[in-house]
Amino acid sequence: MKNKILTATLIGATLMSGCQSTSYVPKDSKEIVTMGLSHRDFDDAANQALNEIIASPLLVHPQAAQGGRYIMAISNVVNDTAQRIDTDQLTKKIRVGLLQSGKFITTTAIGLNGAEDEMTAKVRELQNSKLVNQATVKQNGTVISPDFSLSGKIIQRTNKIDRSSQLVDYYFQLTLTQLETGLAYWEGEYPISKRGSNDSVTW
Amino acid sequence: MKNALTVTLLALAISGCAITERKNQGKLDTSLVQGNTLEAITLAKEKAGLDEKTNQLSDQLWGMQAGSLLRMNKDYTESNRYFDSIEDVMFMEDTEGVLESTGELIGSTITNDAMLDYEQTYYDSVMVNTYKALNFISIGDRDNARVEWNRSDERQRRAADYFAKKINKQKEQLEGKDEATSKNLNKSLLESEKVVAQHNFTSTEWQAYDGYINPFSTFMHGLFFMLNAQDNSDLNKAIDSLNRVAAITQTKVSAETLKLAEELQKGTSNLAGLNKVWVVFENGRAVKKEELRIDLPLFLVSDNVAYTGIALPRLKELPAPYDSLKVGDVKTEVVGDMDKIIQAEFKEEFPVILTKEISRTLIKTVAQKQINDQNPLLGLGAGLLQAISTQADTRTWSMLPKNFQAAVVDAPAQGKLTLSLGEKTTPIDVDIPAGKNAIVYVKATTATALPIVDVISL
Repeated sequence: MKNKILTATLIGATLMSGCQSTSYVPKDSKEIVTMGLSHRDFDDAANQALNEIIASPLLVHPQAAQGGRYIMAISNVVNDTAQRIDTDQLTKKIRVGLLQSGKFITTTAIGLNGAEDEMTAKVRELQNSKLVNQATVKQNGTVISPDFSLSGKIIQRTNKIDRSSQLVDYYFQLTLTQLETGLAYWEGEYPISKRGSNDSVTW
Repeated sequence: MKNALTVTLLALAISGCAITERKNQGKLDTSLVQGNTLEAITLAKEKAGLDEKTNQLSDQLWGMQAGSLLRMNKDYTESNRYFDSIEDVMFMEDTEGVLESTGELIGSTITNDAMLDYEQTYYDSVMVNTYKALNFISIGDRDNARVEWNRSDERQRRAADYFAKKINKQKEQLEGKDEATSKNLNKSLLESEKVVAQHNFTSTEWQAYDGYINPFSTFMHGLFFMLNAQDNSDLNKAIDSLNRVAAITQTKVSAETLKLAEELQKGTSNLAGLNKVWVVFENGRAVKKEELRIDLPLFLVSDNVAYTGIALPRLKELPAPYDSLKVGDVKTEVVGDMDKIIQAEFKEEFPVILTKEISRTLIKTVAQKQINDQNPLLGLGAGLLQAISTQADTRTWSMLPKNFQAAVVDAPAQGKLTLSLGEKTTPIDVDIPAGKNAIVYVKATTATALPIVDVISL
């Protein structure tokens, strides 16, 4: 009796301890899907947003042909999910795409919680420096104020489907506000739904 | 003789776990009564065994105790490191496969529940995320606090789902006869239930809050989304939560906070103009578990067994060190009775604990009888093994308070708020930053140790 129990426990323990090795996942692989948000979800949402912004007739700079570009400031993207997300991941992708499209340039000198790159302000402190060639020091009154602001929110809604599965809806909501008028010139919403096991939480 | 020695050694090894565990709990209690938080932290950290590199815990329960103690010591970042590592353990427990739970069941059949990994309760999981959110608020990380409030809300939803499902399942079982269950177990269960009933393990008076919610967590969720509202949907969230708490607790503080949130939504007031202070008070220590051993009229018991009996956990309430906290003329009210939440969940889980303990006792007793039939001396050893290995799992997250209380008052004109815990104690003066809303968080674990006060301006 005792031996049987011991054997059963040992077999159980052996089966439990599997082994795993590390491997690359192809960029567009659809094999691995997590209940949480992954790199692919950010890519999808950002690409859709990009395409829409580029196609919008409201967002064409009047001097576009002469190289005119709108300046965009990054405002706040609220993460209202149950996961720790770096929302910069989403905005970065959009910034890069917009810069490449030739429609927008992002300012790193002006942000909601201060400058993203404080160097723009910092280099102006050199105006009294004896060390630096004053002709090369950046002057005040040259930093360009933004025309648009990008803000947004990522929302999560979780619902039980049945005893074993749950549905998680994520919504990527983005808004481009024209700062002169305070009007939203463009808005986009990209829902992503995932169905999976109800055994545990989604994070 | 050799065999008897082996059996005795095995029995001692098995009994060791639960005894050491209770000794450590005793040490922790003593440190807290003496107000020696640092000593308690050292003990909890040592028992939790957090791996610095992998952030993996070796003991979940002590991880939670350490998280609470570090929070008491205002080491919020370190506290969250412990609470974060618990998320992984909880995920593993939730998704534990059939094989693993079968392995655990076999293990616990020859031993007891106290030897298994700690099984988190639903209220544990809600409180882990609640404390994490509060820690993030204290260090000014509102983005991560928001994530944790969303998590605690999700945990609450899962708890409600679980208990609704469980209650339905029990109803189904009562309606349909389950012939697969062994006759012996059924008979023994029936017999033992009578004995168990005499010992008041659970009470009909223990009722969960509506929807199995922890209203304290919901109250703080509402307060957070109100004081940090980024848009209208945040205010909606706040109003939803505060509405529930007001309906469930019928407290002035929740009704007043709800009214403030509604005014913010209507636009008749703004956050900067509120000038309010919420005083949150964690009072005492939550109900604990103690072991009660009873001899049972098991159906199978014959003269040929040396010992048979069961050991079950029973809840024991601890006296509240204080009635309430006075903020000027305003008294704090209970917005979350942790004892009530723990009792309700224990009541739901108790039938499972009982069935497991009785089937375990049956298996052990049958084995003991068989051994005894072959060799009476070995039978005696098996009886000893059974007696020692019969132990109840009395582990609980003992750092949780007995209840959570709250009050809301106008920000003091002179920037000083006076808190009083009764005539026998010295009043505590708290500085409130001017022109801001604030939360004053007070924790009094025992009447002997000084209360811990933290001011968070929002």
